[in-house]
Amino acid sequence: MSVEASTEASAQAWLGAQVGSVRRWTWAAAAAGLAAAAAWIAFAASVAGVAGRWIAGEAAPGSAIVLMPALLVLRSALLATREWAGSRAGLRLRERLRGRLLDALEHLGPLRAAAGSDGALATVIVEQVDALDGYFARYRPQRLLAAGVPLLVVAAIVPHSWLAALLLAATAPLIPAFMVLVGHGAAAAGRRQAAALATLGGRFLDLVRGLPALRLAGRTGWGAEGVREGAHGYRRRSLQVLRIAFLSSTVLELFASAAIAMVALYLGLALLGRFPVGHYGQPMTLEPALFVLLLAPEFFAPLRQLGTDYHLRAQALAAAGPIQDLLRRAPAQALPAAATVPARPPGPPVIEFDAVSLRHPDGRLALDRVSFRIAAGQRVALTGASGSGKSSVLALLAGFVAPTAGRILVDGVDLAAWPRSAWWRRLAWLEQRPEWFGASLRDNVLVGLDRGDDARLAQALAAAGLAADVAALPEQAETVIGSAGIGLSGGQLQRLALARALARQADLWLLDEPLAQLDTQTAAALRTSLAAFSRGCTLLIATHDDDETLRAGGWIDRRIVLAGGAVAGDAPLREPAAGGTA
Amino acid sequence: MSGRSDPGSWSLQRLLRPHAGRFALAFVLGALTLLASLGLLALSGWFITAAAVAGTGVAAASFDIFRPGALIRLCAIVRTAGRYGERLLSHDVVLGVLADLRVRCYAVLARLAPEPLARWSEGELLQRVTADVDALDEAPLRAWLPLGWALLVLGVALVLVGSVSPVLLGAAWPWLVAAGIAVPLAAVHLAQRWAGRLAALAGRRRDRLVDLLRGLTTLCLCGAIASRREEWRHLDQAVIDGRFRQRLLEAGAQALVVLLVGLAGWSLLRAGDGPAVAAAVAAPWRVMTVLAALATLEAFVPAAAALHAWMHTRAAQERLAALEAAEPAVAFHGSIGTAATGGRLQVHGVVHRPAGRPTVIGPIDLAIAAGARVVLDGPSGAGKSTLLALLARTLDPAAGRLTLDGVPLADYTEAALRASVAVLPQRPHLFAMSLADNLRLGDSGIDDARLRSVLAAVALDGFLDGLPRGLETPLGEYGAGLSGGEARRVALAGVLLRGAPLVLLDEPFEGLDAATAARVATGIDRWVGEGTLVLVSHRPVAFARPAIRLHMVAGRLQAAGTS
Repeated sequence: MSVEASTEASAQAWLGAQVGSVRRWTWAAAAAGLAAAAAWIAFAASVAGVAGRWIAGEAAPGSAIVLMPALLVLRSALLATREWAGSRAGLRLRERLRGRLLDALEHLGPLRAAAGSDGALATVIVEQVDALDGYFARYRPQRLLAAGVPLLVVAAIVPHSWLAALLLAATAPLIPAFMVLVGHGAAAAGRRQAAALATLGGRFLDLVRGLPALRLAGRTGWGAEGVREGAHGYRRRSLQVLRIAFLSSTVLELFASAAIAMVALYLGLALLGRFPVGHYGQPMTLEPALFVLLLAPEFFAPLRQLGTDYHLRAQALAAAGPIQDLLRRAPAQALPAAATVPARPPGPPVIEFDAVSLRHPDGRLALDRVSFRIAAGQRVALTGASGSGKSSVLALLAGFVAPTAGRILVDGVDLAAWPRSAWWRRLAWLEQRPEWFGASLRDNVLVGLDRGDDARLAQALAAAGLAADVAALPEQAETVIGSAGIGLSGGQLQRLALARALARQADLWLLDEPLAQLDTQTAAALRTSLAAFSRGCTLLIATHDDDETLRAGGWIDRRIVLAGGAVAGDAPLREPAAGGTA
Repeated sequence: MSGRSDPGSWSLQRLLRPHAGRFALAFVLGALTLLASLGLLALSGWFITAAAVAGTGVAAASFDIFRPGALIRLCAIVRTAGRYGERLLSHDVVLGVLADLRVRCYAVLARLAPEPLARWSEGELLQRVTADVDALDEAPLRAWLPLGWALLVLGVALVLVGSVSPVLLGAAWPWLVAAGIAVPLAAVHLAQRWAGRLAALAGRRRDRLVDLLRGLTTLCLCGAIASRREEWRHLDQAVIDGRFRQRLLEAGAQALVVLLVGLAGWSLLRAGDGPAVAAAVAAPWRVMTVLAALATLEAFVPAAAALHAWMHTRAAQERLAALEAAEPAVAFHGSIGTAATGGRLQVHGVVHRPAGRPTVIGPIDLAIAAGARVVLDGPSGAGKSTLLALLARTLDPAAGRLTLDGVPLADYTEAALRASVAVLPQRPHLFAMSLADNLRLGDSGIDDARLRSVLAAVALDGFLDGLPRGLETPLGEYGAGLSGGEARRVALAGVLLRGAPLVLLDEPFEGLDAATAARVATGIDRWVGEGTLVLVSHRPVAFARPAIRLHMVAGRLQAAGTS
């Protein structure tokens, strides 16, 4: 419970910190709302003024009646303005947050997988960010109004009757107090039920995900029974929480109704002359009485609206957690977006890790003072158990993350001096599951290059050994391959990734277990291609292959073994190749 | 199909019918609340005006304050209690409807299992289905009830004003009717026109974002990230702009309602100021009509906001209806209701053309005797899993014949076929339930000893001993807390427990070391016993009886001998 309470506090603090960027819109919305209330007060005064003359048997002056529609139009325009300004606040904030989240993901690059599947990340960026809208567009301005409008109303009433003002003002501090009391009860009940509700809510999804298995086992009936029980259990428990939650709005309603009734009765008695206290010893007349009566509901209206909007706050608090989490994961940006490009010596780069450490934002140490030097054109295998730091080395070298200590030198120059785009242009990147876009094969190979460059495309496809396969496709290179690579086998997809790398004419190759998903024969064939085409390039391959497989390939010069984020072994696998000196 | 794609089949009227009584009660309570609100103000206005009139004359002493006072207090109490009751009851009804909806939605999805559902499970579609079901509650709560109340309050207000004076009614009705009905309905109408387009746009925005995220590393390294992000930002902007316009429409409608209600009050005031009305109607009654008109606002404003809820529900209904219109990959029309007992499998000239893929499976001819052990291998993408799907009849071939014990697969009823064939799919699912429940799947006839025995057969006995609560240990959401290899073997144990004469296993040894794999192979062999076993594996596996090895390349089978 205390853990949940503290996450709520941190989410609340985070939401509060976000307000800064849209404060002007929030204030604008609140100001419009306050002005609308003022217009209503003026309208109420006109109504009271006209009706007040009725009992005196006089007709109202024409000017009062003419002025009233103008006040009404003004009020409506101000109310619409309030919504508009509030919406702008929500809009600006979401725009900014989406940008920051995408920046964070861009910095994480391949390391984003630790934060969740791409679908889940998309949910954070789209749905969770949208869930903040109501809080900033409505709840925050309404909070200001709930404080401002009652004050304005009381100020308008006081000159006519201090007792009526007191009757309203006295209930005002009671309302938040009672709401907090009831709110705490609801929160506690909510927390007690939260786990059960989450389980029951998740059961539907769980049973649907398992439907293929259930249908194959002939057990869909059992699943349907589970859904029915879960759904009705959810209903029962939700009602238990709602029963308490609705109490808070009922308390508000009670105060509002009772206060209006009391004000009305007091005014009636005062008009009859049976209650002389409360209006400065003057006889009460209809005009001020009607004015006060018309304002009494307006005193409670913003508070009631705040109660109705309270769920927006809960919604935003729930969404803040995942957003904060993702933003917190983003490391400091490794490479600058723009800087002067260091002179690039011809040929493949020399890579040097100088006591490089990497600590994740959550405090875990991924790499601990790793040092090694890779000669130009040397091809090195990185091995070690999963979690030993192989992927971290590759991500550091690609410039997605910056070392927390130590330096990475490229041809003797600190990598941090390279601008991102210039450095990335030198890299080829292959991984276990290459990334595909829902676009044509051509666009998937020539990403970031001139998409009309047929010669380059044909050359890359031919070199990767895919010319025949592509020719057999229904629309050749224009065939749309689904984002999951639908239509091509695993081996073909890895060859396509190879074609992508070849088309880029990179001189540093970073390979993250590109063969792990393939069966033995396909992997062997692809290994031969990799060996042939990476000749003359500096290459790092993270792999689980044993020494024997690595040696048999005849292309890897050296093996670096990582264990627990440190170098545990470093030995040549064969005689140094020409130009490669370890 | 045409009948099914009608969103009306998800119509809320039909779903609400079983709860009609309580829904009506919720409506009545809400109506009482709003009428009490109106009464509170109208009565108070009458009361103080009457008191003012009396206060200026000799009647002040005899003025009855007891009855109006009691009525005012009654209105205050009804308003408070009514609100609480209405909210509780309407939420109870809606949660009930949601529960029914989930059951119904489950039935629709069950029809589509395992194909095409298995393909969707990976995506976000199911998440969206769940959200859609939840969205259906918005229309009754935030559209129907408020619109109904607005109508009722409008009627009561018009009758009240009319009974005071027909002249006043004539002054007030155009404004009130416009505010209570015309504006909310016009807003709903406008919103409906936009809803579909905006929903499609929002769907595209999400898909494009997932696409962008999937290729994030590549886009960064290839220098294409900035332009892709810019592209997506434009799409996002279009959705946000659309929603912004909708919000402004809603806000505009509400502001218009506020204006019209105010004008109704103003119009009554002006008419009441005329000498004819002033002579005919006493001041307290005239004041009462003004305040009653102004008090209708509380009922009218939520009605003007109904459009958003209405639109949201409508879009969800359409997506659910589209889901219902989807066709399952396999339909069961067979009449043979007795399960196979032998496990003799024959495949004649079977051809399958997967949608959107260049590779064609087959033609495949294959005869497998009852009790045989068959090991299928071949490069990825060769069609091994598809062949298993054909044997399990989760897919139907484009041509050819498959028989089990001499009976065509298509002639079995679904129940008989599922009792005859047990399948371990490539990606098995574990439920967020206990280990025992995951194995039994509701079959209470299996005792604990049998569960322990099958777990030992798949080399999970050590794992079981390490579990804090043994067989009753919950496996956590989506079977979390287990390694991939353990989860596969739990699913494998469940498949073996079924005791079907034909057992099809897709990669049962994935993620296992050689020693464990050998142990599991022995366990599988023993549990399948006299039944027929077909499994996909790249490993050399040894069974007690000789196994037939089949090699599959580019959709064709090549016999690779026995081992």
